[in-house]
Amino acid sequence: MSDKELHNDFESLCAGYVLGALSEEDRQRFLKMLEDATPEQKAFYKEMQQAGSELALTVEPRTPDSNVRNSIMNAIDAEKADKDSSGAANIFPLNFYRVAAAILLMVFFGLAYYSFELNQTVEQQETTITQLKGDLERQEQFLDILAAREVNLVIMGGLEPSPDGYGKILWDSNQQRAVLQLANLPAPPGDKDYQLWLIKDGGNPISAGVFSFDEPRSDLFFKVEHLDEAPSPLENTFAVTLEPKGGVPQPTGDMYLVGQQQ
Amino acid sequence: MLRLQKGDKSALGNIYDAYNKLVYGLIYTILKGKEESEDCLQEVFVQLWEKADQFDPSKGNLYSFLLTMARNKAIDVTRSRDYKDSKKEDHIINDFTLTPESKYNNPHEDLELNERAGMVRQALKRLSEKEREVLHVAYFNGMTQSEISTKFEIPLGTVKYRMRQGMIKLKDLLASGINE
Repeated sequence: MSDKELHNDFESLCAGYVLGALSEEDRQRFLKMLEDATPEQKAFYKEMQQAGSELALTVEPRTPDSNVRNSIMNAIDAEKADKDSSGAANIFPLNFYRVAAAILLMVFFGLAYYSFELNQTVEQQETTITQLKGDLERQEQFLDILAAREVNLVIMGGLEPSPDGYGKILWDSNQQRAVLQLANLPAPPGDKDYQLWLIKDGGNPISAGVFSFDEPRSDLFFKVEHLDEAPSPLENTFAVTLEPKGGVPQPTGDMYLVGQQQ
Repeated sequence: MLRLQKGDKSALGNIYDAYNKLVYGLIYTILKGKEESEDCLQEVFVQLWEKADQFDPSKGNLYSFLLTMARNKAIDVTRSRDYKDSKKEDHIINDFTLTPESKYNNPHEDLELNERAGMVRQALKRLSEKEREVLHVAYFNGMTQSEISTKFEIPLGTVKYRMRQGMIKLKDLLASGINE
């Protein structure tokens, strides 16, 4: 088919198409041609379409029954109502699940927070119980020592690093046990401990254990574990020095407290 | 139309008030019966409401969109079994000029449409009678080129030629304002 024949074919099919007069086969053929049409052919089609639709203007205008308008509006209202109700039916479950999910999330986080708080409380109470048990144990030991027939009391005074500090040792020499009280001493740094020494008759200090605490208090009591030395009948001196963590064989640090058995 | 596309029911009422007589006249011309024409008219406007989003102003004006919808809907009715059973296809008026001239004086609701309708009638008068006949039966009776060929015993090639020539003339006359 020549270009001119193709052009005429397009125009012929176009005329038939805008009048709705093509067979299905020709209609499909024209739609295919329209897909590949040039801008001029597309403009031609648009003008033909407009001209075709304007054939309707030649009809005699007629007035329909006035009820038709109401019927149309009622039909649209009914359709809108259907849409709204079906929309609501769709929305309701969606909202319902959203609200339910939100409530469940709130309950979940609420319970999680409550559980966390409860755990914190339990942990705090367990710590308190442990502290109280330790305090009670030390007080029982203190009372045990006080109940002993012979108890030595050694009072230690504060030295330069902590002049307000003081300490006491209740020493049951027969049972080789003692309780140490430390008061108004600063908490030792993380890499240090306080170390208790027994110096008998001016000899070499004997380690009686290391002690540590987080906050300075006036009622810090410690069980002295390593005082298995018999007291000297002449002179027994106790001293507290600040030493490297875990203690040292002989004192190396500053002396904070010192006191002699009277 | 924008209001209609946004779901404004009153906009549909305004469009109905502006075009109902023209659309009903078109449907009645095709279907010939009052009751079924009114049913069809109702369907057209409900369809306009439903398919308002398909209207693209860049592809044509509102009345063309509405008239095309009405024409197609009415032709669909003529092709339904019930309509064929009633044998109304016998009522073919195959030339625009058979419409009494006095009825052309019925004004459309819209002045611009009225002027445009006059222009279309003038343009059609410039076509040959045979060309008008082919355009008319195709548009108002929904007949295909093959059906026209059979019904009026005209060779198919001739039907296609007359249809092409008639539409091109109509298009050119309308585009030039009937000065050719």
